[in-house]
Amino acid sequence: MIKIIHCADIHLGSKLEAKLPHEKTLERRKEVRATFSRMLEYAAKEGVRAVIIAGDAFDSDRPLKKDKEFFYDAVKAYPQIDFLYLRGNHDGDETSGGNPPENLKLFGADKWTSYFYGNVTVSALEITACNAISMYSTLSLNPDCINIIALHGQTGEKAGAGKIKLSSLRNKNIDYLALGHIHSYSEGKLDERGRWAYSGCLEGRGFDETGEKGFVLLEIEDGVKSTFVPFAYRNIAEITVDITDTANDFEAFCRIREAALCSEKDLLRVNLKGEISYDNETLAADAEKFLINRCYFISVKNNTVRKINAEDYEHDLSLKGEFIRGVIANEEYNDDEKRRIISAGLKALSGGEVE
Amino acid sequence: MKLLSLHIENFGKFQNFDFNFNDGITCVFGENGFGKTTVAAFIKSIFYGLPDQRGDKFNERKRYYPFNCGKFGGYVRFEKDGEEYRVERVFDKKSSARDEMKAYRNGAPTDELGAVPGVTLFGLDENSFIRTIFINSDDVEVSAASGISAKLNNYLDGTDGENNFETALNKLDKARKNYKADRGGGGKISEQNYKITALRSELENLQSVYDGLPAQYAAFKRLSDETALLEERAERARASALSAQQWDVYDGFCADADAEAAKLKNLEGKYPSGIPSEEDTETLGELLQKKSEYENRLKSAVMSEESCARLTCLRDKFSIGAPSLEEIEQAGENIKKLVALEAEIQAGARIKEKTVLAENAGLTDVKAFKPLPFIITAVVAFLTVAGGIASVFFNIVAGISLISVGAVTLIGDGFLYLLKKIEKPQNPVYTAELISDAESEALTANKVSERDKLSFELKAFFDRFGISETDFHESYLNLKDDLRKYSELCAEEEKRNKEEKEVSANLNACIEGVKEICEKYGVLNEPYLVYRTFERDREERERLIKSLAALKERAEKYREEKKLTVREEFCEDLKEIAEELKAKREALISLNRQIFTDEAEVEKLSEKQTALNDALEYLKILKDRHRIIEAAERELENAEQKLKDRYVAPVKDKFLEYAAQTEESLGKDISMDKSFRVRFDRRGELREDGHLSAGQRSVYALCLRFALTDKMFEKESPFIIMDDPFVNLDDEHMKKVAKLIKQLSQDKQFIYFYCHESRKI
Repeated sequence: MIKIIHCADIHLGSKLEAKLPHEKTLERRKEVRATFSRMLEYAAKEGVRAVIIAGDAFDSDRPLKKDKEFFYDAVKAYPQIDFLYLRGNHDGDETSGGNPPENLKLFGADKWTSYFYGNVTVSALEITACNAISMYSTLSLNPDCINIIALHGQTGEKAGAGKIKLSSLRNKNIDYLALGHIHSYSEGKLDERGRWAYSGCLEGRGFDETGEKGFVLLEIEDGVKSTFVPFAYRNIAEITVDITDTANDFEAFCRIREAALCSEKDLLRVNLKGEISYDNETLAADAEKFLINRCYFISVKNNTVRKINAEDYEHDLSLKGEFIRGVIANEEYNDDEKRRIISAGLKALSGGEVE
Repeated sequence: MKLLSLHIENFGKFQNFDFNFNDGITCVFGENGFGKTTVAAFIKSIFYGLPDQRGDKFNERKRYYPFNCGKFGGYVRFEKDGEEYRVERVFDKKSSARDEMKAYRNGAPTDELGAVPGVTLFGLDENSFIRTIFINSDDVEVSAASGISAKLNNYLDGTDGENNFETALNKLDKARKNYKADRGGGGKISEQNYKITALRSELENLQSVYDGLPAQYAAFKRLSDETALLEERAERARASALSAQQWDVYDGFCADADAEAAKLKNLEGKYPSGIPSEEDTETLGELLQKKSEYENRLKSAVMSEESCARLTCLRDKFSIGAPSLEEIEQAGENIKKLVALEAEIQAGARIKEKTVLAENAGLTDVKAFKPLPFIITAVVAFLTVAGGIASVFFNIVAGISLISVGAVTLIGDGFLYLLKKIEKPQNPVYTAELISDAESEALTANKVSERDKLSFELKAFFDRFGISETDFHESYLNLKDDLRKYSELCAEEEKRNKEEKEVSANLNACIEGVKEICEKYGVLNEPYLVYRTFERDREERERLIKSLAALKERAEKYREEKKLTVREEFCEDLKEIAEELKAKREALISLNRQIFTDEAEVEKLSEKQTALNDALEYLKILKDRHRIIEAAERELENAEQKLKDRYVAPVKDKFLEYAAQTEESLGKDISMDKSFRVRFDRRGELREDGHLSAGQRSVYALCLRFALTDKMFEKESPFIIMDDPFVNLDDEHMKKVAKLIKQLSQDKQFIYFYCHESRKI
């Protein structure tokens, strides 16, 4: 049995979208590297023969020297494993330049490149504007072999640069289509013979990359058995909490705390929604402070709206009523603006400090 | 809109009470306690409900809860827009949630009046209703006490505080300026702009660092390559230096070999005829050895001085000729005879001549005593005893046995030794046989003669050799010994002479041989020294040859081992390269450090970009908040203006119209602010209503309310409930007011409760 790991979108040297504090940003960068190293330890321990990197090993086509050195050193450390590296849209010429280790095998953009492991063939091609259409017709695979194809791009029904037309890859004797570009694991049936899968990234980098992250372990004997292995050091989660019925910010914090079921290692985004009848300008920042020790990092987005019962003031003949009616009638404002203007006006009229 | 009738099931003191309203004015007269306020409150409760009863608070629900605890409520009939409505309410004792309300239009149930018919019908909430068209006696009294102007202000303002608008405006203004000052660069927005400018500057710097990285990478690569080349050169130079060193070592080895070769050559130079061969050397050695042997033999061939002296002496002794052995033997026989004769003669008896020769040295058999066996036996016995003593320590029986055996043996041996010693004969023993006297005399004479003859002959014989002793036996023994010695010495001399001759010949041959070899190699030193020299030189030569071979082999082996083939003609200066390499490496390290630092900075790029985005986003939020506050400020001012435009001006006009009809003293020169606060011009000075009398204030308040009502309900004026509001008016003013109300009642319905005939309209 041959074992192969399919991973992608490691994004070494990536900026982190979670808007972490500087120290945590540095820590997360190290963790992204550490997870990659840990995956290689896992590969060595499991006797993996090859690691397919289906694109975007680096975050930039001009990777930093230290990131490149780290990648090469990591590859060199496991000479028994072949690293089949398909460059992605974030990788450039420099990502594989210099003096690559011997066990770092590259794929080109000119033609399909294949590597053979017994009856297992791993083929890949960098999708460019030039080959985006022709690549499907130039793919020829031995039906008697177990064929693994690696590509980097967005699947869809159209062909093009950075696009993968799945329907054109059907009935091509593909057993497993190892894809990169999408940062979450997903998989599906390609045709009667093969399946496709995005491995996702190894570590989520922002709140747009929530959910389990890891790689796909391929165990190949008579066929290909693929298993997603969750491997991220930290999980990134996003929840939405409706705080409509809360009477004040403390009640809102308690409700968020009840909903925020995460471990201390996780990164959590809380989206607040609902209509509230108290001041909400600093609610998000206050909630973050309230829950600061709940997990590794918490971000609260306040999408609540100030509750204004306009009908309550419809027949109010006072200045307040006139003010509210005037704001509501003003078509220059959208609903949110109207709520906020009214909120500010009412706070001023009630003698409170406007922020 | 006008009220038609009401029916009170139970409400306060009223039970099953019905009342019909007129068009225009409906005056309800009653003494105090009649229930005028209860009726007014009932009408209000039908349109607005009653507040919940919480705790022991005394409110209208508690106040008007029926005295008889019957069904709490009733209905009101009214007409609006030509339609007849009836609104029925049954109140719970405490909660409005359990109240029941039914509305009918033209007898049919309807929900068009909503949950609060008053709001639907009048467009006023309950408080506004109370402050405008529901004028109860308490309010009038309150107005009279605290000023109707303040009441109207409250109505319009809805909040406490006389300067609410100004306060609110100030708050908003302050908040707005907190974001953006009207003048200068203060405010959060400016601060944020500064922050953004700073961040952009940082980003530009970081971007320039980032943009500079490729050049640094290229420089790093160039330096790395140069360093690698230098390292190669250094390696080559090091190899060359090493090679040179190795060549030096090799040359040293060769020099050693050459030195050895020179020594060899020098050695061989000593021998023009060639180095002495092994054979010659061995021959020379042998010759010298033989020579030495011959010389020794020659030396040993010479007889000792003692022997020579003895020989000379003996030769002198036997100068006339040495006796033969027969002569010696004969002399010995004669001596024996002489002795025998002498013995016979001396004995005087017939002696039967029988001579038995006992033991005598050289003449008879003598058994020699031999002590060796006894010594051996004694030693064995002694050892046995010693062994026995030693054995006692191990085995006492065996030890004692051995000691006993040894002791017995030792004693026996001693005894036998002594016995043997005693038995040993010391002198010759002669044995004679006695004969007869005659015969003895005859015999004696013969014997004497014979003795003398023999003595003579013996004496002559010994005289020949210079021996004059009388003891013939001793002379015989001496002569015999001398003769033997002489023979021996002569034989020895002859032998030695022969040997000397022979050895001398050999010695001469050896000397010739040595000489020949020495001459062959041109060496004229002492032969033995020559031989030693030959030997040493030969050994030295062999050593030198071996050494030379070894040195050559070492040199060649070293050369092969170090793979020294060609001497490099040019060898770079390693020191110079090392210095250059050191400089390159330092530059590389420095550049690497710089790259590391720059990369660390560049890693902040995304954070700074995020910070900039956040700052921009926050600026947007600040601007948005500023805009919102600005809008709130603007809207508040608009609201105030609208309020003014909508109510104040028309209300003022109406107020002046009504005031002119009722109280001229209020004057025409008044000002009315947005809060409907009226100020009266008194000789150029605006005065508050506080300077008015109580009656003037009542008229002023009524006029203001009528003016407000006119403006608020321009389409269809609702009924106006007046619960005895004119208690403070004098008759004159009462008449004017009554006139006004009658006038207004042409198109307004007034429900007027009063408690004194003088207040009748």
